[in-house]
Amino acid sequence: MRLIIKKYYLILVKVLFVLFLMQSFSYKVLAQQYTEHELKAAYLYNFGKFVQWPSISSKYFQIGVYGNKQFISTLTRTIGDRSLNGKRIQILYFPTIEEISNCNILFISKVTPDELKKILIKTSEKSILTVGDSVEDFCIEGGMINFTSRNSKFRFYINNYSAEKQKLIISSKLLSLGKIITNENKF
Amino acid sequence: MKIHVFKYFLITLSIFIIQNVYSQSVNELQKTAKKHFDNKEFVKALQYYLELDSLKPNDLNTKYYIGTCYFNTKHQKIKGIAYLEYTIKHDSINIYFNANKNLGILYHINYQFDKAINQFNKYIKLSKPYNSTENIDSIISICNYAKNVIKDSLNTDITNIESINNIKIFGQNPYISADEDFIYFTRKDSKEKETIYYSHKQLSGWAEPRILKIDKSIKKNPLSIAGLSPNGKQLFLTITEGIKSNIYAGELKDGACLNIVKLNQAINSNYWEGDVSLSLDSTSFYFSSKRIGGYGGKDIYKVSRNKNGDFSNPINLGSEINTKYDETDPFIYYDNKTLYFSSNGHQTIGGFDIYRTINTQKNFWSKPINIGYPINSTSDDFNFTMSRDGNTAYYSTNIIDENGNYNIRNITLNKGINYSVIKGEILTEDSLSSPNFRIIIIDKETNQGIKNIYNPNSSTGKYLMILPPNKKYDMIIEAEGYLPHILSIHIPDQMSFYELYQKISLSKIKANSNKEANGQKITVTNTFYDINNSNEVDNIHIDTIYYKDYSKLLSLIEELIETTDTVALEELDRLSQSIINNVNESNNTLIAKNYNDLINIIEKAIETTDILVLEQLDKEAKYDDEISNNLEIDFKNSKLSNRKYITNLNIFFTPDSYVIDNKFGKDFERLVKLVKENKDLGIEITGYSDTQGNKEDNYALSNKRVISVLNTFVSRGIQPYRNVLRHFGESKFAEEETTKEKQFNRRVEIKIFKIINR
Repeated sequence: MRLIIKKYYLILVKVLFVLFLMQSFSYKVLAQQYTEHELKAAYLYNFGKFVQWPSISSKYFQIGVYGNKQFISTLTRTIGDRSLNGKRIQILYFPTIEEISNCNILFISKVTPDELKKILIKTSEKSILTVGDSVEDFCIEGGMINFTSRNSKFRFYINNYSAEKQKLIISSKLLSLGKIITNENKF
Repeated sequence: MKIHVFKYFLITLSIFIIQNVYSQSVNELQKTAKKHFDNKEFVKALQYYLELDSLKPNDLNTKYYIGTCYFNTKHQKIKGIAYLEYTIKHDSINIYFNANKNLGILYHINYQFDKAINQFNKYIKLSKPYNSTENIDSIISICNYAKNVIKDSLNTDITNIESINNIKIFGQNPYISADEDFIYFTRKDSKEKETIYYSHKQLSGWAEPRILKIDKSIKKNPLSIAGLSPNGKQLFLTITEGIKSNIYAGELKDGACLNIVKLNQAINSNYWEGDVSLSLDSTSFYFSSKRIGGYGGKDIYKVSRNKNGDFSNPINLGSEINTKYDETDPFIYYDNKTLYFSSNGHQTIGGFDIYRTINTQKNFWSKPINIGYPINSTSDDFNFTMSRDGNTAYYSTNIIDENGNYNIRNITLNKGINYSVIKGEILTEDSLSSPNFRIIIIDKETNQGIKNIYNPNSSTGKYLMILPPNKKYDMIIEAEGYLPHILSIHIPDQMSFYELYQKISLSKIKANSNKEANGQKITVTNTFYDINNSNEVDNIHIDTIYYKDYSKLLSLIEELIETTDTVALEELDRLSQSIINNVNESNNTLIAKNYNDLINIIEKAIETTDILVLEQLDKEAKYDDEISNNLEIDFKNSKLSNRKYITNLNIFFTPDSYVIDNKFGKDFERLVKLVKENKDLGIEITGYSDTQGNKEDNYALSNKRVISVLNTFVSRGIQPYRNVLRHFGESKFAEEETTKEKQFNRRVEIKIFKIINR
């Protein structure tokens, strides 16, 4: 009798396991629905974990935003009071190109090709991880990580050459998830 | 015996040697061929591969390389099709799967679009993950587009121009004077150096072309034609100076181009400039430039010249026309409104195609239209230029003939385009408030409405109608605050394309010095503009005065304004506010979201390079982001005079009902789409009822109707703050003599507006 119970118990465990597997295959990753910007904010935070900066002298880990002001509120909300590289995160908004100062990550959205060029020239000598919000030709122009538009094969494009030039080390894991763009792709 | 052995030995040896020599020569050939192929000397490689093919027929490798060599030649691409087809057919293990892509491209060039699409799909199926298939998707869409374009191919005659001696005039980049008396074009020599030729039109055809003499000081630098003034007296040149190209102008006299001067710096920058078109009145220059500040690649710009000869700053023609790819060869037609240009950035059937756009308002251009097959080919088509009578056009196509020359193409245009286009404008006496109006055209024979009427937005008051010829029409103009006006139009049976400009003026007539207007006048002015005889402009004035007692309508409007009681408005505001609160509550739950989950999942996915999870996240995310909508415009408190009405829709109800009929669904979705896509638009919802029954009940009913429309909008994702609600109870707009008029009163007016002077 005990044996039979044990047998049934095993079957039950198996059934549960199979159910669990099925569950995980037809998975929905999250219980809640997030918006595109929340998703991007979460990516941005994680880029901070998978990229190495040479040294961060400032008191805070700074994420700058140029272009879409509304993104600030989403970013603040999403990141909360987390920290990166042992430092509290500070979020900065740059209303003009002139005001773009030293920061660790610069999120660039809604820019014209001209603005983009100017921004990239401005950041080219600094160890700033430039992240584009589906900005056209972002990586070709020398930006480092660009989110792709929806339903694209890759989540983002990465120009590792630019990153290396600016002394940033992008984790191989991150690299393997994005499409690698080099400056030679220009034409 | 010994001799025998020796004999056998000799024979074997000779066979061995022959074989060896043969295989050696095959090997040699293969090596040389591959060497040239790797050096991208495809024409040279092709010779060796063809030789190989004759020595070793049916060799898959050789066939593949021959096909690929042809594919890479400039003008023999099509020959590659047979070889690549052979390769793919016999390639059982798909070593040469790349051939699918090249064959697809060749099929496209050869107008075999379905085959091309098949081949591309096969390529995508076989390609490895690291092969980029992005370009392929765009070629497939080009093929699909080309299929449609070719289906509606134009009825035109295309010929290559010939001289009086029936010798084909070869060359590229043709420019003609407006009277079609002179043609200027270029020929390239083997070193790609361009020489400018010209020809004069004789009675029996073009004279033998001659070389245009050009000032020696200029001649050192590489140059090409950039354009010709409509009067044929001024030639524009693109002169390359180092890395930039600038536009110069010279006077044409006796087969020479003299007094060549560089154009104003408004036109020439430090980047590439070329391809000029000068308007008939010489006031506007259109040109193509690579300067910074554009949309990428070559963009088309406009420069105006005032009476003193001063140039304005160049204006980029805007994102409707300029793309991140190249836009070149502008040609402004003599009406100063229609612009032709070449581009590889718009919907093309292959390479550069020629497009047409119309200047509808100051600095505003209509969406460019591909001028269609067979003028546009799957190769590059460019340099479109037209004669003043609009009958003939000249252009270039990047295809060479059997002699290896480019030909100048000539199209006869006046066939098959016999529709009339009526463009018009409605003006009011008081230009500040252009009324909402609608035009209905009824074919008198069939008594049915004509579809091709583009009712304008009320801000510009412009409209467009396209009418088939040889018919009589009734035109009904319905303007808000004016009585309907009927006008008869007769379009005669005509052979060519006609344009008609029409102006409708609405004005109120005041009797004596009495302030109240008691009549109204609708004046219709037609300007028939026959583009075949553009020198003669016929003005036909049709004045129609329509008097009617106006005071009744006026008092009605007054009443409407007065019945807008504040209590009802507040009630409505309260209602819509409660809906806003509901939505806000659901927004609050958004704020309480757990971002830990999201951040951790992404971190884990990157850590394990699990792209599936990331993809899933992407799929689940709400992309139509609410964040960008946060800029709330205060539609509700905007002044009525600041509302510019874009479009409207009347929803009619059955008696005592506030349920929206399904038949309005389509129109509704159109509005929803419009409002969703344009964040600066507001919705004005105004409810009415008929006069049946109790006045108070009717008042409540009109309110319910408004609310049900509001709810429909909100349920489609339109934020409540964008709706401005009003209700008036019984409407007296239509006299309720017939049931139809009653039905008209049971309505909700939906008006989409934009706030101006915000």
